[in-house]
Amino acid sequence: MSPSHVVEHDRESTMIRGVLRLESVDSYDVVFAPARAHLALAGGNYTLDVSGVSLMNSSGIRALANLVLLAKQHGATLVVLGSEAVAWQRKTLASLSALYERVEVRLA
Amino acid sequence: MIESTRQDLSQKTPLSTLELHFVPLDFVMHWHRCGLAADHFAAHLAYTFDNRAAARDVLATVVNELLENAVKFSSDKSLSASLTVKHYGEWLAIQTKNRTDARRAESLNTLVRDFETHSADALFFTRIESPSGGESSPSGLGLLVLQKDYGVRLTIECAPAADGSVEVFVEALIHTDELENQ
Amino acid sequence: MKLTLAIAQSRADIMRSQALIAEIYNREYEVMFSDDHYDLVAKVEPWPHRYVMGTIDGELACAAGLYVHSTYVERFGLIEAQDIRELRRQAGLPAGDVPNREITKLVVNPKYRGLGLSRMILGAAHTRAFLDADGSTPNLLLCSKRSLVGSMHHREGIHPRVIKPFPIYKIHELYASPADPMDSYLILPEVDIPPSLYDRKIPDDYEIGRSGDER
Repeated sequence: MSPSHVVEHDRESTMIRGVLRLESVDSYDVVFAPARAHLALAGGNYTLDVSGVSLMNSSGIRALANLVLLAKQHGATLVVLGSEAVAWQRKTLASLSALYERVEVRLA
Repeated sequence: MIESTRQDLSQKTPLSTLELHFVPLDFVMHWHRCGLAADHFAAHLAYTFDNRAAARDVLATVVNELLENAVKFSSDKSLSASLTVKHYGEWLAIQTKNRTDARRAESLNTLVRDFETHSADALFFTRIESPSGGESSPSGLGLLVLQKDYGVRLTIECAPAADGSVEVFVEALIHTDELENQ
Repeated sequence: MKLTLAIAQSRADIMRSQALIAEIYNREYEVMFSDDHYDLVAKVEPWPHRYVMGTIDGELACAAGLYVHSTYVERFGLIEAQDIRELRRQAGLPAGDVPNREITKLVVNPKYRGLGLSRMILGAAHTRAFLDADGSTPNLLLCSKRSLVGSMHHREGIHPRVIKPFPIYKIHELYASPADPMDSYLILPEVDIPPSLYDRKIPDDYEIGRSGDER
């Protein structure tokens, strides 16, 4: 079966499209590894674009929250791009910005 | 209020019922089956809503969460479990039944107690910042998201089974307004 | 009691083998399986490509798998092709372009433990009939705890050659330990497996008993 999602990275951003319902929080390590590495550099800025993720399970939400906490731990800035048209993003993504003041969730 | 809703619904015959009997091991063997099953249930039920795409996505999220939990937290993955969705017109009841062990049942009971004494929002942040139990025990984060963000009313019941295991019943009640008004 | 050893051919037999492997590996090591990805941190393993099974009265009693390519040792063991060529040279075999395969996921149904079935299925997995998927004699790679190589392989007259220590991964946290670590090994069937085992006929029936004796 073809992969359910596509991940693209560049130096300061990750873009994910598709459906993300991986087995466990640990399974998301490989998806968020570049983001984690960048955020661990003190003062780093990173953009995570999940606007194209139509469905995400709770393990993914936990993994996203862990990313926010990592940014907080290292004083980094994290911008999360989402979409108002996608239910889980509209409903749950905004919660992440309450975890850390330098996380900005932008829903287009 | 949830108890009165549940009591009302228990007197009614669902307009439509869809049920899946499964062995959790099947989903361990191919994890993508969880999403497949959730999507099928969601697409099936979405026909009754005007905005099918939006209703389908919400239903897929709710069904997938309950199904993943039933699979992950079944102690003996070869014992049969079930996923049922009952459509009562104004309410949808998404239910799972599975067997677990005493340790996981105790984690669930702790979650139930926390639900009764804390708001879903507060509990969500507490559990994010202080995770407990690891992957083999339910953290309840997914269920908290359903309560907090999807207006789901949850019931979790654990009862001892004859063989020493624990029968778990989880029900997510969601009002159809949550699915219509997207 | 009779054990029938056979290579899983039908979809049903493959599915039965996978179900037994998944049940035991998930219960004992919290491992999941996938067709399209693997992740040792997340404890997701790839499915083997072939299976050998042992049945008692039609019930699956034991099974083992084979990676016919993309072996675990190559993917995760940090070995080099040169490591294998050198060991072949030391054994007096030509370096050649030989496929790498790996026996994996050896399991015994809990209902049938104590009958010596692990030896039986290990033996069946080391036969030419199972290993030579395309008529070629492969390099047989192995990733195992040191204690098991002693208690299982050596006992059957199989002599794995150490390639190097296997790296530590979270997926093995319930399996290996510093006191009994894992290594990557190479088995050269033509010299390291006794001919009486390598040329054993499959399918075939074997008498078994509580002493673990075979016919």
